[in-house]
Amino acid sequence: MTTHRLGTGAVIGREWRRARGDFWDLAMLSWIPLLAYALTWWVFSAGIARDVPIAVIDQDQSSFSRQLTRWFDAAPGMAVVAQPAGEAEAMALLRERRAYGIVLLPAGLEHDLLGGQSATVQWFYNAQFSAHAGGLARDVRTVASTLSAGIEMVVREKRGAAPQQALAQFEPIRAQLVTLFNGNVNYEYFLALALIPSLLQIFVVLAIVSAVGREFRDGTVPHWLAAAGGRWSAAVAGKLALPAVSGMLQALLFLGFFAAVRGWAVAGSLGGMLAALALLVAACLGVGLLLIGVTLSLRNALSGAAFVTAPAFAFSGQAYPLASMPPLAWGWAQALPLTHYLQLQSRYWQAGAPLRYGATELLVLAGFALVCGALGYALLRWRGADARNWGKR
Amino acid sequence: MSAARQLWQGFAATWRAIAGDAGVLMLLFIAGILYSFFYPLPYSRESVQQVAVAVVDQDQSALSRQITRFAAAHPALKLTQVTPDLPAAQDLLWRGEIAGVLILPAGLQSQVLAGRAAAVEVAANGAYLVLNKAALNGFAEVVGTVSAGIELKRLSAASPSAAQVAAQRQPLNVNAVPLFNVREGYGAYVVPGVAVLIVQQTLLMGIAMLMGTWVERRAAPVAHTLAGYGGMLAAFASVGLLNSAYYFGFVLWWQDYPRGGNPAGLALLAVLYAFAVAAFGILIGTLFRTRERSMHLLIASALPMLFLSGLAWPDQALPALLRTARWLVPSTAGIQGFIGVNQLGASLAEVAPEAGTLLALLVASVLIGAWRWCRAAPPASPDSSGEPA
Repeated sequence: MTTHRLGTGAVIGREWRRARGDFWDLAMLSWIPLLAYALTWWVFSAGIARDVPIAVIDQDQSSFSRQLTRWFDAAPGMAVVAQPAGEAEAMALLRERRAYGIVLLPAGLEHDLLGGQSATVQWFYNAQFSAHAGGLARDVRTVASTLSAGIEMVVREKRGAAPQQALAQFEPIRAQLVTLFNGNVNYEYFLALALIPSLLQIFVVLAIVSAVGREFRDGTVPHWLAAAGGRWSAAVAGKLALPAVSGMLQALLFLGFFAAVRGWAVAGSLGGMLAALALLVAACLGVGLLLIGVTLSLRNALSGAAFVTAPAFAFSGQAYPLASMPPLAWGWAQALPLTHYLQLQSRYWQAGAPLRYGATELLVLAGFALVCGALGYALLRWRGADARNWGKR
Repeated sequence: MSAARQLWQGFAATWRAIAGDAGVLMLLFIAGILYSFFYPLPYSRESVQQVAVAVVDQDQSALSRQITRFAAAHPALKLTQVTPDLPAAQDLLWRGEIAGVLILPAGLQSQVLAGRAAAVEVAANGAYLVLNKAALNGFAEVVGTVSAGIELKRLSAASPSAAQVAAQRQPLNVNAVPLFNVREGYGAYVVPGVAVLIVQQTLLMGIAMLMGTWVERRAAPVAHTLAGYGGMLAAFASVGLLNSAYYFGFVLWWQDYPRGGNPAGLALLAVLYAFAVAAFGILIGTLFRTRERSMHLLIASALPMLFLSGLAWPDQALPALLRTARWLVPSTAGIQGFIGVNQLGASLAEVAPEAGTLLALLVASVLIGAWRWCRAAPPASPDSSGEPA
């Protein structure tokens, strides 16, 4: 190996030998990220929550209330798991999380409806478990309005309206609600697709921070620089290579798996998606270089990486909208590459937008890569060779 | 040395080691405080108000203008543009400037006046579920209000009383009542669960960093004996307990989330959780050979753990194997248990499955962890007092 020419190639060779010799180093560049992505996909692979448990308090005990209970049970998103006698018993089920909502069918329900009066069903739901409650609310309303429409149509037709006329009378203007790009609100398509890049950015930042930070921790900067022929540019370029290749391969596997295997084809610009992924990896490499350049300590750079990347999903605007954040959180969100990347992803992959609709975000990501990368590089070059900065734990 | 003295020595030596290590102090105390302000920050306004939307008015009639006015007045919607042009709305949607659009087709008014059923389309961006829901619900209310007005007029022409009209129009109503998180705040929903996870992850990282450092130095300040293990466990658990007290005592109050349902249950669960996570952390710590390695794994594992906990994603939708395996990490029972006692006001009996799981995890982690710890005694120094670092 000593016959190798010194420079970027020699640094890459040195990195590769080290990675091959260290089980965990190689694992962090290969199967651990893939395992984390696979786990994330597996969590959401059902796509839609089915049979979330609810309880029904039937105070009417009529054939109508029993029919209604069967309808609630038959709705795809929920299952009637208990029919408690009273509210106290039902509340205990909620606190035990054995049920996430209670339908209360009041006494006199059948009597009122058959007598042409309106009746109200109470729907108590556990709002602390918002993800459960959202799906349940949809099903409860669907069952109630289907039944309501049925009763109303029968009444109208009894009064002599033709079925077609009865329908028009009943709802003069109907709103057809369409969820674009994600028709049946599939969480595999919504959350898994957003969470995997959120993990990817963590792994890429960790990879570059670890690759450079190791040299400072172990005080092996002279050896690293020697392999690079004394040039910082070659030293840093050689360090970037392995994390860049690994990150890009992970990104392509992610895109390929969901677009080709799972059938969520890229609806808009495929070139835009590829550019977005490549620039996300590049931006993360830039952020990682900056973190290690500022700290010159593996441990501090890892802490910084944790602080920047781990909560990034919460700030990204994907789950909770950016426009509803206070200015400080909004500003921090803009300072994270993930925020810009996820906007590109939802536009290109899901909304079917052409390339030009992401030009700004693509430029922002490139800006992260260049500005953070250049700053990090400058800091490494400026202070990195100073032995007083080595060995910090 | 007596067992009690060894226990005390292990406890004190672990605390001294924690206090003498800036990296570990950072993870165990500073990180938790930073995250307690940082993580709830995006949700501090708690709910989505004023979603930006557009109306595509292709009818240009009195009725379509009435619907548009209703949309502009709806408190949850911010009407940013009215256009007759569908591609213009598509453009706004792609640029991310609106989250939803109401399309009023040509001929709407004449259809309604002729007594035929008319339909309008509401479309919202499904890539953003919170915005999607707000836009769809807002527009559905707007259209429903206008539609009901027309219907009531028609019905009252044929019916004797207003009450009868209302009963005819909507025979079966649903009255939805949110419980526990009654304001339905987004932060109140997600942060209490994340807090439990932060307590776990910071403690695991801190323990693994300290123990990894001891392996690197080939010397631990704590004896490789059962008593030494016990002292160390108690020290780490006391750190977990302090963080739990901070989060469940101060942060929930400071952020004004629902809390305080069952203080006695909370105290017991906090002790159990602290010991379970500490024992789990020591077990993990015996696997790492360097100071920083554990951070890699633990930073990236937090997100999947949150979605396995059954808070942010219904556990009924998890694959069967994951539904069982998720109980192997303390955070699953911790998140469920703490939300039970803090936010739902559950009695200890009502969180018994979670408490039992934590106890089982504690016992298993102690058995394996203590065995690995005692076995790891360096052969060169059989003296149980260990070597100073």
